[in-house]
Amino acid sequence: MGAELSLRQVRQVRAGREVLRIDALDIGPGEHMSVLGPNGAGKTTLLRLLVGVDRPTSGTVTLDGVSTARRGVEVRRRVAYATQQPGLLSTSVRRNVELPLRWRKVPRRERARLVAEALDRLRVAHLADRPAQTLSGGEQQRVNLARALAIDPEVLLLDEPAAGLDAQTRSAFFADLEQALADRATTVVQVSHRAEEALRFADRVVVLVEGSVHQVGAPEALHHRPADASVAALVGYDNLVSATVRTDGEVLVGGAPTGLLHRGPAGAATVAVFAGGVLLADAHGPGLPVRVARVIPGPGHHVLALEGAVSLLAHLPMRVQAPLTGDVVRVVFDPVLSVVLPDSPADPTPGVLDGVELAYPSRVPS
Amino acid sequence: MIESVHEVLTRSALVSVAATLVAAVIGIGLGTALALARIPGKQLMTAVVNTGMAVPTVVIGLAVALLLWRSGPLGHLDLMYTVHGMVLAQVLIATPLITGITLAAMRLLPSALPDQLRALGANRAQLVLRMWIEARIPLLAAAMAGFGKAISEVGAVTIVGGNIHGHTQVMTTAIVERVGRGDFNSALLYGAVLLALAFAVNGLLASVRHRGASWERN
Amino acid sequence: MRTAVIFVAAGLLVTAGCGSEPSGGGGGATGTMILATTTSTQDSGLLDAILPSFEESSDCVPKPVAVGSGQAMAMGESGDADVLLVHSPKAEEQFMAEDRGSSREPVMHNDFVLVGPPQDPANAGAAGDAAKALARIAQEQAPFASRADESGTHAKELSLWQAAGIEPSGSWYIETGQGMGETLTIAGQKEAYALTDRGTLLATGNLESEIVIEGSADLKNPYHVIVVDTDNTAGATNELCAKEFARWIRSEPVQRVIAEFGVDQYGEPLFAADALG
Repeated sequence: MGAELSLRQVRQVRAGREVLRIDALDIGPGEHMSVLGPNGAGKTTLLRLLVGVDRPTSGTVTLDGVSTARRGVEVRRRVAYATQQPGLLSTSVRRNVELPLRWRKVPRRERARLVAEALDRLRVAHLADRPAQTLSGGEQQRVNLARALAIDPEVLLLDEPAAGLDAQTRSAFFADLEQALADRATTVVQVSHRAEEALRFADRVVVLVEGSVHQVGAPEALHHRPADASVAALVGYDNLVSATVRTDGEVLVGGAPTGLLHRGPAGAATVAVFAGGVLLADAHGPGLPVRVARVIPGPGHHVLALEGAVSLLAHLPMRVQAPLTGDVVRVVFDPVLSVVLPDSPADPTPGVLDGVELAYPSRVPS
Repeated sequence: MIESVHEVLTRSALVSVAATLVAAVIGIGLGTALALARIPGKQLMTAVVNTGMAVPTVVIGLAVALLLWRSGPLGHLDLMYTVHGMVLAQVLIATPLITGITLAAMRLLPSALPDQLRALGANRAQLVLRMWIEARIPLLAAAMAGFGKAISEVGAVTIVGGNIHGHTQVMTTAIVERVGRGDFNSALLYGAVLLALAFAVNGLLASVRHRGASWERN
Repeated sequence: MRTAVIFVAAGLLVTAGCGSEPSGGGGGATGTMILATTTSTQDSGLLDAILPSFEESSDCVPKPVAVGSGQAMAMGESGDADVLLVHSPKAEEQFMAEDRGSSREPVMHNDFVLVGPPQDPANAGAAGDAAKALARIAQEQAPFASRADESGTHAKELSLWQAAGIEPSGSWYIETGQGMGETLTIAGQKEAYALTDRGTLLATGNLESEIVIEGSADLKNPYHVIVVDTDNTAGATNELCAKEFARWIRSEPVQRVIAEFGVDQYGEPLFAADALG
């Protein structure tokens, strides 16, 4: 029984600066929504509005139609918010997890059961009687999450839940988180600045840049059709280069052909290309002339730094003989791993509409 | 009619403990409100508290005496030269100190803590209670500091209490009196007892601080 | 006057014999001199009025310490004071009997008075003298504020109780352990009787109390100047200056100042000079 969240005409102004601006955003019951954006994009600001700790400067934030800012504690108690800093209280782990239950007047016996279960799910049951301050960063994150899950909230808000964890711990942490959420209908909003975390188990992703929504869509849509250069950079396109689209559709970079054809309007554009989409072409055929600045061995591929009209990063399969530093080669872009983003101001955020169309029904249990 | 040290010590301790309890309730409440609440005139109130910490205790004693004087506005309460009057004076002496330390203690807590507690579903009372538990050690230190200031003070209790033997004489006024009489031996004895008391209070605070990490309201 | 000259001469002989005679005018008396005196001389302002002229006329630097008579005696005994100006006749006689002082001479006296609430609930005013008045107060258990600080005034009060044949105790007998001014203030607020010197009574403001008994023979309050005998103390005292002071305070010009002191402010003198003529 996840709850539905809605934002309408929301503006949040802090110290005279507009830090968040969302005209309309709906998060369906049971939906897993990720919020992706660089640091300072307004992600935490959005979560604070959703939990009702802050009220928006203007506009409304509602939970099942009830304004979160107005109803105070009643609304807050339907929501669990795991902040970026675990912020554990100076008492035992068990008590930390138990406290929100006690505030919600859950009977003692029931509390004990829920605490044990939550600690167990996050694999921290053995830490129950330790003072919370003595835990490692990763353990604290898990307890923070157990505390949020123990109340079996209708909405779970996660702010960079894996911040401060090393790569290996992070992966295990997310596996456990996914498992803990698997059999629940909780509405989840997860905030992250890492694409791989934001896209991992999200039904839809909201891309926030400088306080405004640049794209809303399924993870696949973000990959294949990023709305603009900033979204493309966030989802992991390694190369963003300025290009020109000729009237015949040919895409040129620095006057040289890239092997791409674009059916959109002619004019200035940005080409986003994954490193794996930069292909070595016949030295005498059409392509972009570049000089090999560095060759670095990577995992399963060579990493090439290329200099020419633009700087490029290329991944070359190991089975291909890598060129030598200083060689001049020609490259073309793989259409499957490239996307052309017109700079036309007449069509500012086509990706948003795109995303809405692509959004598929979330995992609402019927 | 010279009282035994133990009677004077008991009176001193009771007066100062009573004053500290009242001052702690007021001071911790006020300090918390100044730290957490959005109330108008907060800055002015904070300045008043900080000034209050620096006001000489004899001035406070004088002000209380003017109120309690038989011809004063509260003269009908008949509190002048009584232990109740002394408690009142000590409350006024200890409250600004406890308020100030409480304010500082609350500001030392992580700034995100109130929002965090709110997000975990705490209502206002639960939030304040939890903040106090998180700041329990400095709050205890605040009360101890208030007690220390109250029991060691001499000017105000002399003016308001009158050092009346068997009724309002406390340790500090007893010391002053005995020095005035040239009876340095018993003045030193009283001083040593007061010193021992201060030492005991500090030892208690240190041991509480030591075990503080595991202490918790149940 | 004659005795003072003799003491100065004797002092010169003593110090000359020790071979450590300090140089300087005024017969060789010089340096810091601690004057232990009662709070009443300080509180009434008398010391401030006369001491500057002593500083001018001699090379001695007087350091007055205002304490109770008891502490003044203790300071003399330990050699922490060089000269005493006190009013506790019995204790003074004891002090002299133990050879603690080399001289004791009358300086002045002031009157003690018995004060009480204007209504005089114990009807003490009709008693005639102080001891009888105290007996009535004890009889009625009317509140009485005692300094209880072993001061000269306290000693006087105790001798009056003794004369009345009463050992005061009970909740009506309020022991303040404080100075005369504070005790008068407390007596006023508690509607209690109190024994005080006239000087402090006149100098203390905001009192509702009124004089109940005055002028009776058992209310006289004599001040003596005592030179501490340096031979019988633990530390060496400045006996030369002490003697100079004792001679000076009993000299005619100073005695005239004492006799006039307080007239400007209160319309009557606070002290009567005892060494005039």
